[in-house]
Amino acid sequence: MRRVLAVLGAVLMVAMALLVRSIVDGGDDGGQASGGGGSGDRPTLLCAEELADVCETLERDGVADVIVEPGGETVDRLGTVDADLEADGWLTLDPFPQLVDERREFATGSALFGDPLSTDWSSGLALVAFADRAAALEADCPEVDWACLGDAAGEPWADHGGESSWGVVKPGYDAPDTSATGLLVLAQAMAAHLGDPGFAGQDIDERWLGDLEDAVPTRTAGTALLKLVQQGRAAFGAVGALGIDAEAVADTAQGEDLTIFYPAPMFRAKVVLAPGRGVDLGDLVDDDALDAALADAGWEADEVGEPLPSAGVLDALRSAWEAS
Amino acid sequence: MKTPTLVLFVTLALAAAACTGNEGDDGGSAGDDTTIEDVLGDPGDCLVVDLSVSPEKIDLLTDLARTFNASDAAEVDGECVFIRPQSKSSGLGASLLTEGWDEDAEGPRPVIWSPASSAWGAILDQRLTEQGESPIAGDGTPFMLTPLVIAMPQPMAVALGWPDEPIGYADILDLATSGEGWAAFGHPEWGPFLLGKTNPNFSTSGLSALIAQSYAATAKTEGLTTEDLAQQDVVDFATGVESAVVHYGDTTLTFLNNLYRADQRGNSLSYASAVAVEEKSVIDYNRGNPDGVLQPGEEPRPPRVPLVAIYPEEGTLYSDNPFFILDAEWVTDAEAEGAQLFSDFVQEADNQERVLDYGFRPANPAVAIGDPVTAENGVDPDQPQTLLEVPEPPVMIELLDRWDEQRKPARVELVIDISGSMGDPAGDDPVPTKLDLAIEAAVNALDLFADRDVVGLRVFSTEIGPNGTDEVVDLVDPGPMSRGHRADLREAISGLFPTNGTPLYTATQQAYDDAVAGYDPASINAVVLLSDGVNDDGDQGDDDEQLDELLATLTEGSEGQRAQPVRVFPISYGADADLNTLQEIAEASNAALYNASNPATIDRVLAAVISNF
Repeated sequence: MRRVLAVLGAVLMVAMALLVRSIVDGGDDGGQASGGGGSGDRPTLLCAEELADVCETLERDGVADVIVEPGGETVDRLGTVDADLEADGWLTLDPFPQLVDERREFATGSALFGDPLSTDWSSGLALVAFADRAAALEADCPEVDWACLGDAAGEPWADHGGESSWGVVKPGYDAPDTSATGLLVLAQAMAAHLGDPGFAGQDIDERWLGDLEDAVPTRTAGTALLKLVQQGRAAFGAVGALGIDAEAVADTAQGEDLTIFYPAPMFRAKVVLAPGRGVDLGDLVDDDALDAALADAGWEADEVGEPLPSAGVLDALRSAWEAS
Repeated sequence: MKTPTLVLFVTLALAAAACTGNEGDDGGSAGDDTTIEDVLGDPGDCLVVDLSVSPEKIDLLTDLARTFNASDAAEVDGECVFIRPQSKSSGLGASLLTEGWDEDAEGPRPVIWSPASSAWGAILDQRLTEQGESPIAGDGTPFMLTPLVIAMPQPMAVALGWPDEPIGYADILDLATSGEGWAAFGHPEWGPFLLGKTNPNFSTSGLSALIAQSYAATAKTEGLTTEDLAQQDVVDFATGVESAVVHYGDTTLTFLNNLYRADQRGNSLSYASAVAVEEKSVIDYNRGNPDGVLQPGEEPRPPRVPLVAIYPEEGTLYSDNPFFILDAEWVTDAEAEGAQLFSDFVQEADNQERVLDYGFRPANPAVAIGDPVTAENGVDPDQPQTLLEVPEPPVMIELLDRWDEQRKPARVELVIDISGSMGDPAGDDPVPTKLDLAIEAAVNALDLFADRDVVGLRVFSTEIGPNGTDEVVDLVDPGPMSRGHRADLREAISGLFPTNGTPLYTATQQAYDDAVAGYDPASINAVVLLSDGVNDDGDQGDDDEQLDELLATLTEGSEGQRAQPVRVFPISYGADADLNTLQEIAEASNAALYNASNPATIDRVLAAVISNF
């Protein structure tokens, strides 16, 4: 239930985070390269939206002050030469801190983060569908993965094992320019299509990507997963999401008819804590409070997946998506 | 109605707000003098967070606000929080937030805005951006959902193959244009196919229905373009569907209330064959509460013939009822924080159960979609199977512009009371008089008719006309709204002056009889009756007889397959108008009463009345 509320409240948390940030900005002369200056000895953490509930727990327990915002927005905000972190670190998904620093270094700026501190916590990337759509995909696809779903995207369900009344196959994933999960899901989709988890930037099939994106319904507020469960099977054929969110939603009253796949390649969204350059957040990683908050939010310990594409490849993929 | 741009779209929606209880969108409390303070109490020293919500959910949110305000959760920095909802149609809210919110006229500016659909937030932000201002809505948080459906009396749905056969807009088009009506389905006794559909310039349901029928015409479910709308077959499809419309209007409540009254008389199949409404309204109707509001002492009484919800096979749209916490200069940090607390509160499972009680689908997936969203209430929780994409704003504007050309034309007689009391002051000052304001509003309203609409003007009083013996005088005969005809109407209206009595019944009877005589089956035939007083023709002795005869005539004319329905839309003008009688007149002709008890609202009320055409 806790995870469900987190999923449901994600949009609310962002709004709240913006409010908090405005307060932080309002009380700050700006220009600090690092060290957000939390309350007393508490560090201030930027938090990716996926970790909003974890950060809320940390703040409630007095471990840290937090500012929640979508990972893509943090990348855009910090990835310029003159941007300041205005926090002590960033609790996010791997490899988003590197995305920021690579952008800055490309623009002849300096890195904003020290070496990210790995946690042992992660989530698989899931593909979620209502049972009837899932059954159709299973019948139509040699393996239910993004390669098969992407090839069917935009085509009538009737041609892919479904019923004509279902209309066309509509995939869903969160916008990769704002959502960290959205970009990781897109990377999983491209890797599946290319048959190569370690694909490079020049391998990106922009035409396939464009066809996939064209078939995605216009994004509005809320995650694709939440919209799927709220609006029912007509909203999407299948959506990509964090596995822990998918499991939580499938456990709800409206989600009991959902089927969850963990398609290849088995990428995992791994939680990292990136300290600002010169900031020591080692104690926070070692602190049981962070582990407890992550565990409580459903994150999974010590699971290993396929290596993710590099930060540079992810950024190239995002650029290709933006151009599609 | 001419609505060349989205600006006018929301301007007209604004006009709808003047109507008592009929504020656009699709429901809401019946109008009365109860204030929100009467319901929620005095906020005292608490931090007040104002909430503007679309009318169909005002009762629900008032209920939730009451619970929240009394809870421990309602606290920011040690200060109590008081949520104060007010009803405002979605279009009106968007317009006010774009053009400036006059707190004296419209109540306090909201911290939270909850229109019926997220599309309104996008429209608001786009319009602000076009004005060079910062967007204030952003991404809202859906709070509950309900899909647009086509509600049909069950026997009619069964005749079309429900529940086994999929039904959609193509079937409606066939029924509307075949010339056989229900005879094609073995039921000549049901007469022609009659469609109830609200004006998309006012109502979210009307807008959603327009979008859905346009997608149906293109066989698309997404990516509707302006080029699609220009295709001749798409134009023909739209014109065909519109040809079956009974009348339009600012709220689906008019249709549901009229249908319910006809049902209670055992005659529901003659008023409308189908109505585009939200699923929630079907539930309310079948539970015996067609307007979704139970007044004190009112007990729900299920209809004889229930409605069933048709989820169009071509697809439909959801109303997702978002909460927008406005990023506006008048919203303080503390207010935003209080708003966030309430937004979180309404998402809690216990409160989402209450959402369900009201017939909406909960946004919180932890709450199962169950009773009353059940087959017993005529709806299907497993539907819709196909969803449609909300078009881009430029396409929506094109849709509305084209709707003005494609909608069913109207033949309307404007009938204006010029009795002596119309010369009374409209407010505290001697001028303007009630007639002054009515003249100004009527002149403005002329612009809302399309060129192909046929409009006439007559006035009524006692001892008028060339010989000083008439009670009704035709000032401008009905004619198409050419430039010259508009000028004639404008001149005639501008020259009105108050005199003598109020032969309300005679004037209404004559206007109705003449409208029937000139009936045009290809048009919406209607009388707009503006009156500020009780019947006073100098002979009280026959008043009851006159009224009975009038009501009997109107009722007889509005029922049965051979009817030539002429709707009489009364406007109750000023504090002394005979509201109850005018209500009876409206109901007898299956129309709706509009209340302008405050003369200052007449401009907006007239615009709302004309939304029916």
